Amino acid sequence: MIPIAHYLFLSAALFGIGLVIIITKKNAIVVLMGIELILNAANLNLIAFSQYDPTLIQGQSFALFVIIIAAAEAAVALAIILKVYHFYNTSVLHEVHNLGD
Amino acid sequence: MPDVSQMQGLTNKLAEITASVSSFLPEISLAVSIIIILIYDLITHKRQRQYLLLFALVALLLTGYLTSLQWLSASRGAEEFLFNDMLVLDKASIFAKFVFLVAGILTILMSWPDRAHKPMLSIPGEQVILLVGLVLGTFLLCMSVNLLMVYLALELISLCSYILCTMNGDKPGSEAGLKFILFGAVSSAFMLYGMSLFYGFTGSLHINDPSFVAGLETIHWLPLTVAGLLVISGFLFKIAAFPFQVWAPDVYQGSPTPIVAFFSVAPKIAGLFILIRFTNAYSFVDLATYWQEILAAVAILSMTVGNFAAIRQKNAKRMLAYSSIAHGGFLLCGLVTFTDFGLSALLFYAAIYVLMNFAAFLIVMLLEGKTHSLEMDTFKGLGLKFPVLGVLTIVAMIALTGLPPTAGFTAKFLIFSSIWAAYASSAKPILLYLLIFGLFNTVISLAYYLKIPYLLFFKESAVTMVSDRKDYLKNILLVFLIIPIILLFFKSEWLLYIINSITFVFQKVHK
Repeated sequence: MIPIAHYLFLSAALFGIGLVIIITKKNAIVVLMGIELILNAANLNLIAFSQYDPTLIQGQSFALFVIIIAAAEAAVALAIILKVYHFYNTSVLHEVHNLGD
Repeated sequence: MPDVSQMQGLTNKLAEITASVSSFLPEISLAVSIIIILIYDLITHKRQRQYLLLFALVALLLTGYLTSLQWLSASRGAEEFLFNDMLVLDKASIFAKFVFLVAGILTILMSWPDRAHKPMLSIPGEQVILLVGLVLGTFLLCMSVNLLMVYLALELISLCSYILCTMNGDKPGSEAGLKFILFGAVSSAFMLYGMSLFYGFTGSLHINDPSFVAGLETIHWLPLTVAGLLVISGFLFKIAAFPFQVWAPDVYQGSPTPIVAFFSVAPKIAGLFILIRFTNAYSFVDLATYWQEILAAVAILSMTVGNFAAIRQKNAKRMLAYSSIAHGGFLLCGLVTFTDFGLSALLFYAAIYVLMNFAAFLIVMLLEGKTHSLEMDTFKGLGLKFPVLGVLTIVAMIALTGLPPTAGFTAKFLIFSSIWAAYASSAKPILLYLLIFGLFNTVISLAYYLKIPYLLFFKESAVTMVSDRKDYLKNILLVFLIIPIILLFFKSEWLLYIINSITFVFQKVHK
């Protein structure tokens, strides 16, 4: 059996990559991909930790919920990005700034 | 092949789920009404949309009736855990449900189209459905004691909010929606990662279960703090507290006003509730000391950032956005004390905050209806033309500042005295700083809250284009919001009597 530390390192790496993508990338869709990476890092953690919880396996059922909600969130986000593209002809974040004084 | 004991466990669980249903009626009524409104919207002609709002109103009133039945049974001492410890039904959560229902009903009344003119807000059926869904999400979040349930309820609120924000289909709405969903998704992803770590630390998702607390006690403080901060970031996003306040001004400016009024109240209070439950699970581990300092710093920064930014605003809705960030800080003060008095003060503040914030947004909506602009400079001189509205504006703004004779003063006074009481008993310097910054911020907030009444009465009208539209429903609604704000200053014991009977149930007692 693979020791749990390996899963944790992988998920921490995914979290870090996702965070860097969110901070540095300018395109809304790429930022969304970074968010998905963090969600998957969390999923990996949940599933890895559920080996300590063999009767209830709450972690695995949690991960299933996360997958579904991530899909819903991505659908809403892409719909909104499409709407923004309709008005601004871009999905680059720093070009979308009409609000404010 | 499952063995007998497993089957027995399953039967017990199913029995508990069926037993829980009878304590879950308000939420069921909301869920059923969502489906009914959806079907009605599909099969009827588009012109009959006004009935959709009526349906939603009836649904919320029915839910209110069911919630008051719950209150009565909880008064007889029947606080309980539902659905295998997923949710807790204590008096505090029932109180919060009333607050959310009032917010929902006020939102529906605010978006009611006036008959004589074209509706200011187009009301697609989806908007009504999503609003009821949002109320359902806040109901669930204030009751959640399981990390999975917290995540689901929070996402229900978030997804409904993102869509509602963009629903108008205009340019500002789409930009606001984009900023809202990106910030929201990032903070909820952080929260989820933190939750996964907590699951690893404790092997349990029930935050008030003794095994959860026992698990936390064995963990080194550093990973515990990191994981705690990650989880709390999701809650702070809902409260719009520093440093997760960035989305609020743009979203408030770009979304329809009734929806914004709801955003500024219900998700914020629901977020506070889950923060209270979460930090109290922590406080058993004797880590509350530095959590108190972290949250006090968040409260101080939210108040200060919100107030200083609000002074510079020219757009009325942006001003109210920063003001709601500052109020989030004041609400957090009640939590930071970690005392029962502080929580009671928080509940009082929350109840008053709903009334005064909805009054403020109604005023902005009425003034916008007169000048067709949200820039505060265009409100000049309107107070002399519409004296009643002007006087009501003064009362609402004084209440938001926290001056007598309004209940806003009572609320701030309770918050400050709870901080003082906590400082007197624990002598922690951070609480003293909190008190000083709170008072200091109340003075600063005077500058921008009184700007609107000042413009209304003491400036010559610059714009001649004033539409003389009568909007009876909104005016009456405003009067009915202002009356309790004044009344509860003189008779604050009425509300305090209710709040003093409220208890939070934090830890499950094994019988």
